[in-house]
Amino acid sequence: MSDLRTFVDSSTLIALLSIGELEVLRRVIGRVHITEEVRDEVLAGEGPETLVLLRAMNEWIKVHESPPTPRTGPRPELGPGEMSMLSLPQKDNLVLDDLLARRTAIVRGRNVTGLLGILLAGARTGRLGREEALRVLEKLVRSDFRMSTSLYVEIRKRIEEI
Amino acid sequence: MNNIQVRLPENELDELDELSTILRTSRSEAARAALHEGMVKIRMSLAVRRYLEGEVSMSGAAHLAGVSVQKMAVELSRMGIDVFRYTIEDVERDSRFVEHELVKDRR
Repeated sequence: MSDLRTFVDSSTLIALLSIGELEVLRRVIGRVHITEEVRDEVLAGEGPETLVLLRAMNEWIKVHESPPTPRTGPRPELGPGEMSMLSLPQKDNLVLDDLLARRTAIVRGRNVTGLLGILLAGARTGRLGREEALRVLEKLVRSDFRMSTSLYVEIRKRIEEI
Repeated sequence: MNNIQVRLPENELDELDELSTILRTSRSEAARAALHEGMVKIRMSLAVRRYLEGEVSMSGAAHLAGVSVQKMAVELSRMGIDVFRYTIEDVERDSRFVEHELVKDRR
């Protein structure tokens, strides 16, 4: 059995929760992991959607106590959730959508992916139907998690081509 | 509650008294309200500026502003600021990684 673990950041979870599509993660990746700091960042939102996370934490999202963040470690410009993820073992995969957090992780040689890539991969591998992937993209583009029109158009085009 | 002394120029004191008249409250109450709202606004505008300049992540900005990550996203959205700030090439790279490393290794 593989010990491959995929940890997800709070902004990715909050984006999915805000459009009622947390299940996308489960459908494409399966079981995922979060640190306690990431959990706390999501639960600080206090919206009704945080209940959805609590329910998922009993089923397919596993919460981990993160190792202490080294002083010479991740940058203080990042949030506690992102810092906790960067202090995880190097072999763990990270789902990050914040540009600064992604850059920091990539410089450190981490395996990084993001929500939009997960959506595209889900459609390409058939874990998500093409129409379903497009529907999630539409909901996302109308949410508080903005992306540029050109990025949206390019992703849409790629999903439609599948 | 604690007392602090703040030196104010004459015109700002007049403005404060005007504010307390408008709010139909005491001068202290008006000063507390102005101070509170001012602190919230200053922290948020500093957080947004540092986020735009790439100095902090959205979560880092939320901590600077003293709000939740969710509230920060709403605030950035209200100001028309993108949260997904990476390129289609990044999305392609992310997608390939998920296709090759994560989907096959599902558990």
